[in-house]
Amino acid sequence: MSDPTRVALFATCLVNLMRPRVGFAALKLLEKAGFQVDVPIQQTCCGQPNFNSGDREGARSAAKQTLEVLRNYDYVVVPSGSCAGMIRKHYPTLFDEGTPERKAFETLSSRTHELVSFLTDVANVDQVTAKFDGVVTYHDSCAGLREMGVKGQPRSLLSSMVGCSLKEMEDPEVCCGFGGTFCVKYPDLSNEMVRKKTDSIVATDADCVAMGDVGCLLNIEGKLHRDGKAVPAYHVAELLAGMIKDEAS
Amino acid sequence: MSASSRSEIFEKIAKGRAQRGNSFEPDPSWRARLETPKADIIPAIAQTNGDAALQRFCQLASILSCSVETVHDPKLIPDQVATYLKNQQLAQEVWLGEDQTVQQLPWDKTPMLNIRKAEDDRDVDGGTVVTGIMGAVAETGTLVLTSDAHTRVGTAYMPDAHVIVVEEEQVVGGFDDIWDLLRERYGVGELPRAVNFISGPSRTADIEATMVLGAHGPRAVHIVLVSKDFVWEAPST
Amino acid sequence: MHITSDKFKSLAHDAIHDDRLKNGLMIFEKFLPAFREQVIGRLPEFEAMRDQARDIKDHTLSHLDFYLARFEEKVLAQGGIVHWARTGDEANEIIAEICRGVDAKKVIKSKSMVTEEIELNPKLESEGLEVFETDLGEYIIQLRDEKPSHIVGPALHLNVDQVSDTFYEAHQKYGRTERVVEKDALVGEARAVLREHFKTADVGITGANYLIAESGTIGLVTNEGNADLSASLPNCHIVVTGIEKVVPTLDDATLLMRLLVRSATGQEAANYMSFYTGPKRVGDADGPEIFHVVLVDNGRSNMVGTEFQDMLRCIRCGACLNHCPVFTSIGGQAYGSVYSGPMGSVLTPALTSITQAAHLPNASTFCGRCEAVCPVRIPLPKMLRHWREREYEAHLIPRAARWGVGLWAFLAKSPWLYRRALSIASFGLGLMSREDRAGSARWVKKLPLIGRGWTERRDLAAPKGGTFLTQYARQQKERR
Repeated sequence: MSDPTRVALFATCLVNLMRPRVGFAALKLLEKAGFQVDVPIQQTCCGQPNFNSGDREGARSAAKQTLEVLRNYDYVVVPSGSCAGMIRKHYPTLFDEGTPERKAFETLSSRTHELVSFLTDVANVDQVTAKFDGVVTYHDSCAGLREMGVKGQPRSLLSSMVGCSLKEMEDPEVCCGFGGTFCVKYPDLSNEMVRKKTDSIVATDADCVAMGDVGCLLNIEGKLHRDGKAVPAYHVAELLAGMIKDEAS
Repeated sequence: MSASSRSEIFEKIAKGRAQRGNSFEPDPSWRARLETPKADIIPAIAQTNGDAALQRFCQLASILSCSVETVHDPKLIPDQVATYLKNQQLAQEVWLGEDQTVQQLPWDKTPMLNIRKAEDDRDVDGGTVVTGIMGAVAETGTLVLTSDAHTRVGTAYMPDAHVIVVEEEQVVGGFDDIWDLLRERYGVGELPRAVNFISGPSRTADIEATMVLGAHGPRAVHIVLVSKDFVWEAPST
Repeated sequence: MHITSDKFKSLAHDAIHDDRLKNGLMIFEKFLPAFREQVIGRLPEFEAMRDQARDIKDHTLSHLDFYLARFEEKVLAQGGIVHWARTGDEANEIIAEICRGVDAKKVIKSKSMVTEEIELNPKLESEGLEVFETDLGEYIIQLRDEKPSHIVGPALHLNVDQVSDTFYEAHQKYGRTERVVEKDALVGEARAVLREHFKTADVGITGANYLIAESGTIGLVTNEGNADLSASLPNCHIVVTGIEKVVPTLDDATLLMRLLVRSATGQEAANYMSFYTGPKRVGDADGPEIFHVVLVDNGRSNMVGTEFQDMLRCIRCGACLNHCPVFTSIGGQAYGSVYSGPMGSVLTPALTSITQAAHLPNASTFCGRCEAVCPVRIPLPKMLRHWREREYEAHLIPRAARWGVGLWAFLAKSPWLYRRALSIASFGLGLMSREDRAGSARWVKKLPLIGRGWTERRDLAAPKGGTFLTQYARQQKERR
């Protein structure tokens, strides 16, 4: 017997293109938590690149597409604080107050959650069965932390993993320098920021670094790899779903 | 020039204001705040009284690098000032404020002290000034000075050392209490020219963020708290 | 206000590679946030006070003309004079005229960002006046002919050796021919030199942290005591500040003061928090007989009623600079404006033009830390985004970028094309990648076009096995 609750996984562009495994990790975690999950095939981009480039019209059209795809679900779960924040915090502001359109987006907003906080705060998951033998340091992705209030949730689930211990880096709440198009528009700045971030990560001597957004992940992982630092970087869902077993750790 | 500039600025503000549907006049409850002002949030640290206030005042002033001593009998103050100057290796010379608190003390009983009177704020440059104050704030260990016929505000900034006599009734919980007292004394909407909150000796951190005392104002602030019962004991460290 | 923000990219590049800046940037990045954190930890009411400060500033800005008129009326009633300046030039002319009127030769100034904004000093100097900045940091950068690198600590980008060199050169004319190297001694030397100027100045110019409508009072917050000497010794005190600084009551100013000192430097009280109301009264023992307030618009009234109005709440504490990972990587001077960091990136385009300051709102990751610490809760990322919207609407962004944004919007509303495009991108990244030594992953070492910036100093892990949607669809098919 399956839960009648309808849950959609909104995968996000970066998971879809760059890190499909995060999508499967999210599915696994949600299914383990007892949900039957759909991945609506018509999903596209949340429109954040347009929104942050000043193209409100483009952002609005992406929002409408996303609304069409997701409007019939009880919950929308997103393995990214940034894209979840776009739907939850910013979508309604794109439409005039009091209009039916705005109402529809407010409803969508209230049903949209970041993956890990959904697991802990909505599904009441307080531990996972996956194992990780080693020390994890957690980077707080900006939108997850400051728009979606994700802070303790991933830490508590990581701590519940057998063999896993946490070690905080210096300034875990400071941005890694990804920032969407920022990283290619201002590469010098972006590099300086991710240099500081990876220095703090390396200084912990942790066995891996975890975070909740693939944008930060690609940035931090790419910097660590270029500089020859052997610290693997994971989306927190990959660790929680036990999907890194095939890798040397 | 000024008249047309004024009206142009006001017109632009009015236009922007109207875009949000706001009137020139604030609504009556806000309007009333100007005639009968009320404190905003008063933090708990600003609500001490009695000995707790005296204790907090002395403690915070010390943290701000003031030296603090308590005295039961104000008659002893001139002698204590002389001792303070000796300990600090300062000249036995003080510029006395003309306020009642300081003037009524028996300075003539301490003959080694050279007593001087400033005719100009500049006179006290580099010297030691002794004054009373309008009030003191326990919240932050702060001294409050107001301008009047007997108070040269500039002499709080020109000397190398400022000795301040505080009477225990003058110590209040927070800044908010000072406004209440001033409104009572001068009327709502009226203030003396200068109301100065002074928290310790002058300091700067403008070179490599290193704290250095004595930037432009006094290098030392010495507080003499007159209290019948309260005794401040500086922490031994 | 002259800015060089069009050179932001190269200035930022140079700043990142300037080792002399590292120590100063560390102060902002590590020390000041830690001091702030510590002191707000002792004030449980802090968050509620931020809400109240936001509400009071919002209210005041909603009736700005009312409160300014009330402030003016109270200043006039005390015998002060109020001037209104539409532009920086107009303000400078008013101030020069006041100086001429009192036959001034020498002016002492305490720190005022507004006078930096309107570039007052060159104007007064062109009138033959001697002008001395007296805030130690401002004095140092005045001697070096630099712009402030931070609205609170204008010279913290310099190290002690640079200050020593500057004083050695500048103080020869006072007969101080020995080089001083210790910080205490440098402070002492500046004190001694400036003390003489304080004693002989004809005019004292200060800014104002707030204007209080209740009583026509101006508030000043300093640690050095220079503002009070400027406001006490010369016979003429000129206050120069922006029209947005007005608040209704002394209590409101007190609320802002409590927030300001904690947010700026992590203090519970600044050394000197002073309130001045009009000129010397009949019978007063001291004080200036002439008191002027010059209220500067210079672009501020244009913000009232717009999506940028919230920016006028700013109390110039600098917390957003200290918490900004962009600011703490490059320092303030790279912004090419006297206002830097997040607040400067919102304010500068408003006071100049978005064309001149185009880089500033774009050089942000929208990490949101500025908004999280702002004592008056200014939604800084939102305002930066509003500038990007203005740029986009005015076709100010490069054509290629605009084209890319348009294409992306088109893909976002065309699911089939979106899936195809991402599959092609996935395939393309695979082609560009090569296996690492361990043979366990594929990495892209060099990306073309806009991706070049990424791979200058970073690799990119190549995706495996097609897009998530493709793989998912395949799995679903297999299950059936």
